[in-house]
Amino acid sequence: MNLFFKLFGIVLIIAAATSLGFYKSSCICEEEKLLSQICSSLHSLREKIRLNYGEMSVIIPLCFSAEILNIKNGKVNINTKIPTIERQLLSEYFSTAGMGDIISETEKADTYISAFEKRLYNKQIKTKELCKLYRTVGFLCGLFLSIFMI
Amino acid sequence: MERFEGALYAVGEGLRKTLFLLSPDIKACVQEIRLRVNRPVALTIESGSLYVNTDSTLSKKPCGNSLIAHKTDIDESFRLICGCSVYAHTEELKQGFVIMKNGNRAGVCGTLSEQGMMHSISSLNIRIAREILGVADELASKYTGGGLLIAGPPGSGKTTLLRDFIRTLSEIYGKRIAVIDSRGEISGSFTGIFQNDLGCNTDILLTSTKTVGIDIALRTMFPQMIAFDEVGTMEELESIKNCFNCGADIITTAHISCEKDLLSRSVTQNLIKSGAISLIAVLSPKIGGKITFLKPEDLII
Repeated sequence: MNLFFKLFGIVLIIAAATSLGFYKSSCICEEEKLLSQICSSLHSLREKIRLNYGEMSVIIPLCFSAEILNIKNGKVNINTKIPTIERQLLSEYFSTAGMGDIISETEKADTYISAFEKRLYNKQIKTKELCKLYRTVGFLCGLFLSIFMI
Repeated sequence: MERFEGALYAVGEGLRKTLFLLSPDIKACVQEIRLRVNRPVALTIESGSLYVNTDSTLSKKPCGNSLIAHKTDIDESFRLICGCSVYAHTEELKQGFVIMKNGNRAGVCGTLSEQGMMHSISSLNIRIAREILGVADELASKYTGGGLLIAGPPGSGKTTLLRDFIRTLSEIYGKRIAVIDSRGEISGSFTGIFQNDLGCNTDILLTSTKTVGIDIALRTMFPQMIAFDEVGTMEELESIKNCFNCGADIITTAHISCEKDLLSRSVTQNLIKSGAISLIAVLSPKIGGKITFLKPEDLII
């Protein structure tokens, strides 16, 4: 009976630590997903500007999901869930976006797209490594903790 | 009054409140809001210009209490007029105006670059569109078919009359009308939504070049009538002749200061002589004033 309880405790600790590791890695994956979403939204915005699809108040809701940003009373509100650097980049872009002609606007969008894509590329490499690390560390921590408890 | 308040979204916040507090009687008869850098805010009404004071009263001449439009106010107003999207209005800006919400139009003055970009905005003229249903009843009763020219001085209500006449012909007489709206002023088009009622039998084509629009309408929409605002060039006159030969009647407007101008101005003179016009409605400078109806044969000696 005693051994059964010990075994149950070990499994519980390992499972908790591993799931914590998985949770952490999924958080990082989520950030990467958000960044890739921003990139595709900016691409879509650039195309809509190039095709003169309409004013910013019309095209922003078509390109960006509420998860990233929304437009209210002509003001762009960026979701606070977005990491600080990306949020700063987006607010910097939207502070002057739309006030040039089509060529300069598409060029400006291109600049920000390449900046976000660079960040996405780095994030993808980092995410792959970190996800693996967090999952392994989670499991190993659980294992060491249970051995220590025994 | 509603139209005036509807246009105030495009005025910078610093000036908006004062304009909003103007008396309802004034709001109802304002035709234009004029903003010029470091100059008093002016309103155009039928009798002339009035200057807005900081306490929301009006004066006939600028005074120490006048509400001044600063550069920041003009820049903010321009941003609001364009909806923070100058790129979407480039073609309009090349011609010096921006189509606004509610069918209004803003005239823009500044520095026009070689690429056609307007910058360093120095003055704005927000023109408040009027839609008066039934204003063309008298004209409709006199009209017996054929081409129609509505002529009058600026601000006499030519576009308002044209708009209601199109609606009457389309809605009541069931005429198939193609409207060539080069400045979005007839239809009050904003982001593809038409804010003025032009009747259920009307097709609206938005194009910066009227001649191109007329050709497209003739080829694709098979209209009985083609309507457009302000005939002004010889190319447009050629397009009208083309319409006439294709069997489509023309409804258009022209700027004149008095009846004599109909024959002294080459475009109107050629238009009348072309045979494409069978009725001329001459408007008096006062809105809702007397309309004089003329036949081309009354003018051509």
